[in-house]
Amino acid sequence: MPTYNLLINGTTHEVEAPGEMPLLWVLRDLLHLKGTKYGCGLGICGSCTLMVEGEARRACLLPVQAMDRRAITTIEGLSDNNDHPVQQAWREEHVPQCGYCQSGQIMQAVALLQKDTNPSNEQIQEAMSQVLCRCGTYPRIKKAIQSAIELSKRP
Amino acid sequence: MNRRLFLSTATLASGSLIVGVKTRANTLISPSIEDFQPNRLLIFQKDGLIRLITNKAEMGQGTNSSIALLAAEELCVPLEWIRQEVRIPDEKSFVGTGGSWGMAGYYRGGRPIFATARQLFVNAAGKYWAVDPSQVTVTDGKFRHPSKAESLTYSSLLELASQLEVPEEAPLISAGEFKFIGKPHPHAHLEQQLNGTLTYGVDQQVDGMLYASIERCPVTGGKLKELDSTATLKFAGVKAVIPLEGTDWEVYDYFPAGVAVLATNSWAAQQGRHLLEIEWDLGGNQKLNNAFIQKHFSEKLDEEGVLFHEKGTKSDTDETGTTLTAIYDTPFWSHSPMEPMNTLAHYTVEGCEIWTPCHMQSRLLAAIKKLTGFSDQQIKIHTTYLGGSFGRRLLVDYALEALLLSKASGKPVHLLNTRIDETQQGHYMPAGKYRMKSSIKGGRPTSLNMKVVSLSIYAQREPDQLKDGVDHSLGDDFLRYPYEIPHLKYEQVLANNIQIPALWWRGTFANTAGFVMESWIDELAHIGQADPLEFRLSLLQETDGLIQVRGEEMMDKGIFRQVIEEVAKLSNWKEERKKNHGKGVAACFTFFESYAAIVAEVSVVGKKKLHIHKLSCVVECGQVVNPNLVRAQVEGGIVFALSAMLKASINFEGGRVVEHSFGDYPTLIYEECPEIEILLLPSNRPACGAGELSNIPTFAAVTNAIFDACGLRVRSLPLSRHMEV
Repeated sequence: MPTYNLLINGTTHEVEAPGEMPLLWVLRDLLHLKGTKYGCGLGICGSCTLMVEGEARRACLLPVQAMDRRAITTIEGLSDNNDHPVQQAWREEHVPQCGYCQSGQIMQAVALLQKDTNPSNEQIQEAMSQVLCRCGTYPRIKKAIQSAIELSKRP
Repeated sequence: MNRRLFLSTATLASGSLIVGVKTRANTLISPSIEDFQPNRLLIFQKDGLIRLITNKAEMGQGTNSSIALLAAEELCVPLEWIRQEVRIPDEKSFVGTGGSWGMAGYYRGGRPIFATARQLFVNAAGKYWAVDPSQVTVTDGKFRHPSKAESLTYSSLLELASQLEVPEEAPLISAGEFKFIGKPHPHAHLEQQLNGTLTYGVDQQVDGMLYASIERCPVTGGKLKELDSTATLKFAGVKAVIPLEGTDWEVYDYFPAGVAVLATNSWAAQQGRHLLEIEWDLGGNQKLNNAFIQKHFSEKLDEEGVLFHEKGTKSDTDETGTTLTAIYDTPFWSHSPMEPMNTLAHYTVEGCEIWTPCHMQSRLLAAIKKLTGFSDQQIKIHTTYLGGSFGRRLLVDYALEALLLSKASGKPVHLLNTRIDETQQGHYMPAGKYRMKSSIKGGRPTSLNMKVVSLSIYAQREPDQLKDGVDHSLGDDFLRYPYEIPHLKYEQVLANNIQIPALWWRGTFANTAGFVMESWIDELAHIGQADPLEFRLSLLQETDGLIQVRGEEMMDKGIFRQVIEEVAKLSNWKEERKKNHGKGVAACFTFFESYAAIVAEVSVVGKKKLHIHKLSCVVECGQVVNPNLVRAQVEGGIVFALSAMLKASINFEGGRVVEHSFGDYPTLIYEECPEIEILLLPSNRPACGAGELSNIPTFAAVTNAIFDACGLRVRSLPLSRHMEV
C-alpha cells in the first residue's frame, strides 16, 4: 500500500492508505483526528470542511493521493487556546447547539476571512451556505461572522 | 412522554465507610470517605466537585447545562463545581429524553432534591458547630454561622453529612434570590465544540475494533435471498461480511434485514458494500408508491372516522350561513440529524458494553436484555454526546445491530450509517390528510369538523398506548386551540396497513395540526374579510380561565391571547404591507404547557418566487431557566420547520424511498434563513418546555403570509410543490 506524507496542522504524518481513500477517513480512522466530522460523504453537507493551503475544502471528496505534502489545517490546528478570532466570535454569540457541523462552519468562516478580511454580504452568503446545520444556528452564525470581522481588525 | 422523574433518596455510596466518626475537626477531613451520594442525582466528592448525574441526554438542546444551573442555585455553589454526567441505565432508574419535558421536570422535581441535599449539609454544619441549623447560611459553597469565624464547605462536611438522615423537605431558593436561574449561560460543552474535541458517538473507539456499514433491504419487510461477498472480502481492509436477519417491521426495536461489511476503517466498510452481490426477496411492499398512499388516504378520508373529541352538539351548528370545506396534506419527513446513526458495541460472554448517541437508553437496556439474556449488571450503556436527533434517536435499532455484529465477529464493532442510509432507511414523520369543514354565520364559525387520516406511531410500535382504538397523540393537538367555536367534532382514521416505519419527530403531529388548524382559522377570517389576527382575538373573548385538555394538562386562554397580542406589537402587524409583501400569524399551545405565536413576513414576486424575510416569535414557556438556550431552541425550531416546509419530503417508488441525501432532501441553508426576532415573556408559572415549540406555528404563519402576499392558499406541503422557493 502506498505511503503519503501529510502536513497536518504543521506536523508531518506518514500514513499508509489506498490512494483513493478520501482525506476524511484518513484523518478520522487512521490518524484518529476526530474533530473533522462525517456528515454525508458526498460533498453536500460541509461537516468535514477543513483547509488545504488556505482554501476551504470538503475532506470527504479529497483522495489522499492528491494531498501528499500539502498543508492541511483542521479544527484541531486552528489555535492553541481556542482564541482564533472566529472561535472567539463563535463563543461570544453562543453559536453551537449540537455542535456536530460546527467544525465545518468554523473552518469555512476561517477560510472566508483569511481570503478577505472584509467580505461582502454576498461573499458571506455564498461561503456559509456551503455548510448545513440542522439545529438552526444560522442566525447566530450570521452575527458571529460580523463579530469575527470586527475582532480580526483589532491589533 | 417522560413527565416523571425517577428519583430515590438516601442511597449511600460509601455506606461501609461511615462508622465511628467523631465530630471533631480532624476527623472531618478524614480521607476515609472519598465521596458521598445522598440521592440519585448528586455525588459530593472529597475534592469539592459535585457530580450531577441526570437521566437526560445532550443533543444540542442544553438541558443538562441548565439542570446544572438548577443544582448550583439550590446547593448555593459556584457553577464550576458541578460536573454533569449521564446516568448509566439500570432497572431502578429510567434514562431517556423526550417530550420537551427535561427542563420542566427538573425544575419541578429536581430542585427539591437539590434543596434537601443542601439542607442535609446545613444540618451537618449545625451539628458540627452544635448550633441551631436554622442559623446556618450557605453562599458560594461556604457554610457560615454568625458566632463562628471559620466557614465550612461541602467537602469538609462530607463525613458528618453521610451519617445524618437526608431531610424529606427543604425550602427552595425563592425567585427573588436566583443567582443562576433566568440569566443567560453557555452550553457546558461550548469550548470543546469550538476546537473539535467534543466526542460524539461517531468518535468513539476502543482497541481492536472494526468499523461496520450495513447494506439493508431497500423495501420494508423484505428478506435476503442470495448473497455473494467474494469481491467485498477482497477489498483492502475488509475483514468480514455478516448477514443480519432483521426483525418484524412493526415493533419498537425494528431493524430491517441487511448485510454488514466489517473493516479496519469505515471507508473500506462503505466501499465493500458496493461490491456485494445481493438478491433480495422484496416482499409485498415493493408496489408501495406515492400514488397508492394518496389513493389509500383519500379512501380512508371517506370512511367513518373514530370520534375522539366533541364539544357542543350538532344543534350549535348554524348551517343557514356559508359552509367552507377543504383538504390539507402533509408529507413524510425525515429526521436527518447531522450525525448519522452509529454505535460502538462490545459483546463478550460475560456481558456487553455500549457507547451510543441514543436518548431512550432504558428502552435500549430492555431491548438488549431481551436480545442477549444478560442481566442489568452485565449491560453497560454509555451515552455519548448526540449530534442532533429530532426524535430519531428515541429508537435503538442501530445499537442493536452493532451489538449483534460484535457478537457475530467477536470484536468491538463501531457501526456507522451513511447519509444515504439515514435518508432511505429512516423512520419517518408520518404523512397525513385532513378534511376541514366549518359553518360560518355573521362572520363567526359555528362549527368545525376535522377528520385526520394518518399512520399511527402508537398503533405501529406500541399498540397498548391506544385507548379504545384512538391514538390521542394523533389529533389531540387540535384540542390545544382555545378558539370559541360552538360545535367541534374531531375524528381520526388510522391508516396502518401502509408499511412505512413511523416515528416521533420534533413536535410530531403538533406541527401538522398547527399547520392545518391555523391555516383554517385564516381561511375562516378571510371568508368574513376580517383581519386574521383580530379575528383570532375575536374568538378568544370569553374569560373561562383554564381549560382542561387531557388529564392534568391545563390550557390558559389568557396566555394564548397574550402571545398573539404581543406578537402583533413585536411584528408591527398593523403597518401597511410593502409591495408584494404579506404577513401571516399563527399561535400554539403545546402538551408541555408552553405557548408561542409567530408572525411571518414574506414577499412573492414574478412567477410565485417566495422570499421569507422575517419571523417574529413570542414565547411564554413559564420561568425561563436559561434564556440563551431557550432562544437557541426557538431559533432552532423555526429553522427546523422552514427546512421541512420549503422543499423537503420523503417519497416512495417501488417500495423504496426516492430521496438520497441533502441533495434531494434539502434542509434550509444559511442564505435562506430569515431574520428571527424573539420575545420571551416573563411568567409566574414554573419552567415548561421549549424544544418543540416555535416549529409548530411556523408552518401556518408562513403559508398565511403567502396568502396575504399573493392570494395563494397553500394546503399541502412542501411549498416547492406550489411555488419557487
